[in-house]
Amino acid sequence: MAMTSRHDDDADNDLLEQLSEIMDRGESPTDAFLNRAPENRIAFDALTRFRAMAKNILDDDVASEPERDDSWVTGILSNIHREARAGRSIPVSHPSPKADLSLTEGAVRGLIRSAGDAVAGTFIGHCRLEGDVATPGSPVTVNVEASMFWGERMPQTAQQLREAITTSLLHHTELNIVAVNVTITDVHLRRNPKDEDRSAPNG
Amino acid sequence: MERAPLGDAADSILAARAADGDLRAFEVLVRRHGPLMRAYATRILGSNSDSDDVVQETFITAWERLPELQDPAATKAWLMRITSRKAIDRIRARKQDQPLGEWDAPAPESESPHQRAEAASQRERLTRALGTLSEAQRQCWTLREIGGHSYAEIAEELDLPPSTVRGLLARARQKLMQEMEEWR
Amino acid sequence: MTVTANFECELATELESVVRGVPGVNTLYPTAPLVARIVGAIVSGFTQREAASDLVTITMGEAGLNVFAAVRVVGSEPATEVCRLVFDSIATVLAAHSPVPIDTIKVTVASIG
Repeated sequence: MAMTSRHDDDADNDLLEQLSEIMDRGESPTDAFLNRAPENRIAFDALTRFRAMAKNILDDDVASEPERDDSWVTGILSNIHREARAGRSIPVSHPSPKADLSLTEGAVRGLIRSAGDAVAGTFIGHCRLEGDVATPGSPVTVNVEASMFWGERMPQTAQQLREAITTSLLHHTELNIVAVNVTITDVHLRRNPKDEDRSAPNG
Repeated sequence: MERAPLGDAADSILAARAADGDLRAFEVLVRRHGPLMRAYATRILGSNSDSDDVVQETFITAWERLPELQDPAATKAWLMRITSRKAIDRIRARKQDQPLGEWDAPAPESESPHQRAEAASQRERLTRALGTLSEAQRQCWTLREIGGHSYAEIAEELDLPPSTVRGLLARARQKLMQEMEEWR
Repeated sequence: MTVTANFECELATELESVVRGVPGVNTLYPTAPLVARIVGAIVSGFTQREAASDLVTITMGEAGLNVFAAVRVVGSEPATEVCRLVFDSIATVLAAHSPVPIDTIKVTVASIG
């Protein structure tokens, strides 16, 4: 190609750098610039091809990796410090003065997620217990963010979530829940169509 | 409709849950992004010998720092950034006894043009072309073109003056173009 | 001292199986790391050696035995109810076997469902 002769190196570098900077800004060089000299367009075309290739290279790397066993996942998960997210201690009552009983805040958040996920087509995201959970009887407000399945009706879904979460908290904890606020922050689609979708009757 | 599998959830939801302590959500993130992070680490390191360790360190750090993640929707970019940092830490540890000059030494000429001509896919060609770069050139190029880091970020990550990064990138680009264009 | 250590060890193992037998208890979590943090508060003079089982932790304090268990609860029974049942089961075993007074029995539900 036109740019390979040694004495042109510096000029080529300048040209590549100039073009790269324009492209880094998410812009394209002007036609006037590209038409000024043939090597300008050659360099631009090559850089464009290159960028596309670079963008895909990791995906290509992943695709060409042989199937691996699951040990890398278990290796990571077994090194995670789960207790780090226990949060506050939520007391459980007992008549004995020797008893020091509690639920962790983390366990209650897990309970809320599980209650919310059981509502069809929704996932709970962040979940916060606002209030003095450590003092029995003090008012607690639950704030959750949720993602709902595309096409569901938002007010109904939010209401179902509120009910499911409230029921579960009343059943499993002694918290004085004064409100459950649901904010729908995401909408999701089904990522992997189920097998039964393909083999549906009359299909 | 039945309970949907957690794998259908978006990164933003999974990251928020993991920040709250949901290990299952974290596992989905590990499976979803781990392979890409491993590929990225391999590209930065120049081989896959340490890339599993880098991925593991990255996810352990990610778990600890997830509660600080401001924008859960940007989870993938955030994970990639931790990956590059961990990979560079490895390189730095490896290089401790070597003078920096060696670091930018040209890669050995190991392949004949005939061997190179057999490379079929674009990916293989690019991989071979990257193999002709010095380590420093390859790292700068990888962080810039694959990782999307700015010059200033690369300079900071690699602990080099921005002018050096600029020069390394320019040489990397030119070299790659020469190598690749020979295939046309 | 050795007698006490052996006693704790046997007791911890027995408590572990009792806690596992409580309906609704699915998993016992290791409690040792948490205990290590509160060991400083326990007056020395008695053995502070951790029992062989790190699932139910028994330490000897000035006012008597301290027991700690952390569990995962599953099923339809309220988590609070299962938590109290775990306490009651531990208290029953201790009342029958422990020659020393009981100070506290701490039960934490670390996961539900």
